[in-house]
Amino acid sequence: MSALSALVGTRAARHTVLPGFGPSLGFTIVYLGLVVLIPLSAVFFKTAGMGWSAFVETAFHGRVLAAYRLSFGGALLAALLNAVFGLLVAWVLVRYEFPGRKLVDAMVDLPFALPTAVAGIALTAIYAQNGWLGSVLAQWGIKVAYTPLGVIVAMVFISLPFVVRTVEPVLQDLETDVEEAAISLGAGRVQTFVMVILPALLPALLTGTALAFARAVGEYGSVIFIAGNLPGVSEIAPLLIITKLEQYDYAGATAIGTVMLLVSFVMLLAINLLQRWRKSRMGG
Amino acid sequence: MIEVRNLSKTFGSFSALKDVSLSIEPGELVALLGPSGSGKTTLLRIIAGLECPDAGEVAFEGTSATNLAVRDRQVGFVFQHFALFRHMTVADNISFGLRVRERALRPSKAEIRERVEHLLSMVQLKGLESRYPSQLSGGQRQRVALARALAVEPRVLLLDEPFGALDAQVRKDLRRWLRHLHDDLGITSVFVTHDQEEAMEVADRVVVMDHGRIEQVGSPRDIYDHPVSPFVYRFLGNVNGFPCRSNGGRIHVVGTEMIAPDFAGHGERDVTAFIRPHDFDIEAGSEQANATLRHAVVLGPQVRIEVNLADGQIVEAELARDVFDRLSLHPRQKIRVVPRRAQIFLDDGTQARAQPTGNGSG
Repeated sequence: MSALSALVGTRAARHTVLPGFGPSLGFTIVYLGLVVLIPLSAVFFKTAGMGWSAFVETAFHGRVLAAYRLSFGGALLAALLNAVFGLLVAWVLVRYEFPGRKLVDAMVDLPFALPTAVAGIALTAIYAQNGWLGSVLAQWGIKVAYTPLGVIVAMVFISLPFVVRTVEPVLQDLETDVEEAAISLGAGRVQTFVMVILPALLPALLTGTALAFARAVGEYGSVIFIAGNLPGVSEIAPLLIITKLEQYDYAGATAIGTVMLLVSFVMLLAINLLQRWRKSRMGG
Repeated sequence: MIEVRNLSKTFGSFSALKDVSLSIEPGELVALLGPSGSGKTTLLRIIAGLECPDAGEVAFEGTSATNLAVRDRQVGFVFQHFALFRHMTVADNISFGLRVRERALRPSKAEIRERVEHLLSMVQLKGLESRYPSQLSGGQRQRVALARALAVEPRVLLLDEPFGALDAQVRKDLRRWLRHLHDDLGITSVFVTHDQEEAMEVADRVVVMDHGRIEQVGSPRDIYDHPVSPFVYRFLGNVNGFPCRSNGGRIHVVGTEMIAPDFAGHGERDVTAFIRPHDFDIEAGSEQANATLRHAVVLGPQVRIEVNLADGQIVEAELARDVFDRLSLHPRQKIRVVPRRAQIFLDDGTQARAQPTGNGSG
């Protein structure tokens, strides 16, 4: 996320009439340094201490690779699912008036507020084979709790608000006359949505999806309850880090952390560059 | 030909249109003129199909359009704030209406390109086809919007305050240009405006609206020379209104005795006399000064002055620059103001023209 704000932030600073650029930039750097950069660089230093072969041995062990796959793959799937359904939720909340709208609107934020362990336990209780939804799904032979599917369910749950909350304000600002222009020119509903509305929402949707993805990758609390944590099957990378820490293998823990950090950073950077490219193409 | 019959529309408790009927001839350029809240935009949007009337109907060439969806009405709509597709180039914006057609009706890529070329040269934007709307000026954006609306060859062109978001000079150029474009294409057009000058300059026919009703329909000249109501009188340019009493058609305004022969048979009644700023004679150095000059604004060949009458009322008058210079008027000077003619309205809307009585000075 630091990548995101850093990229957005630099541009406005150059020709400003506002005083205090120096001190505020200084403060920003110190603050980011204390909160983000120093702790993160500690991860690298710790990792660097263990030597290359030990690093490869730990960070790319078969069990660890499977965990990366689940963490990143699951997070990507969860983020994409939320891109679709989060957009739908935002659409309904902005475009329609219905009784209880405020209530639904407030409910969207619950995954933000809930302690993740509570969410995990609740999801497990519902999706376990004797649970409410789990028992229904079991009839179709679908197992959710204690499988990779459960991991994705938890990730979807905790990352939903990111998409909804980033898309909502943009949707609110979207002028309806653009849609009316499209219809008066003969466009159908689907055409209007795909050709006019979606492109206008795309930057916000991408940002929201990126945030959701980042959140899901790092999620620990809710996932470990529903995952079952079978090595190589439903074990997420953050859990491996905790396991290593519990065994006082700090270097091993930071090695896995470093890989996660780099992959996340590259993915977020790619999304940011994509946004920039889109913007420059449209002439800002 | 567009026929609007007995349209009514309410928004909550606000009644936007009250039983409005209007017919628009083929090839006409009609202005819907009125203050905000007069229902002019609602009327335009109902014609376009963007709004549903509560009662009444709209017919194109004799067929009712009530059950016709917006996309099937073949209307071109131009919005006040352009409503361009920001993520599309100028060319893609213009060709949008052609590209969304179903395959059988869609022109080929080459035809579309040709049509876009043609439209671009028509709206004088050649060479800008690969720009994005954010790289254009306001006037250019509105011309793109116009080209986009014309691309689908609509039966009717509807424009909602098309120049409202532009600055004065661009607005002036663009409305003259719209008039010429209309003369070339001859497409039936309706535009909404709250600017009487714009309506007068551009339209063949002006529809003056107020409070959801049509006050008057007529040619610009007609409406200016023969306003049917005090509202229209006031709305079409500056006018001074003087509440006064009429006795047998005789009134006393601005120190002058005037008579309206049409009201000669009437008894004593409350009336309002309207006098346009350019219908005053100004004299300086007269014994019978009746006003004090407050200030003067030079507007090219015309000078607009504001005077205080003895009873405190403020009157706006206009005189030619050379007359103003000859009188060498200056603020706080005592002057004499004499109306040349007045239009008198009764409460029920009947009106008559009044002239100063014989000898001029009463």
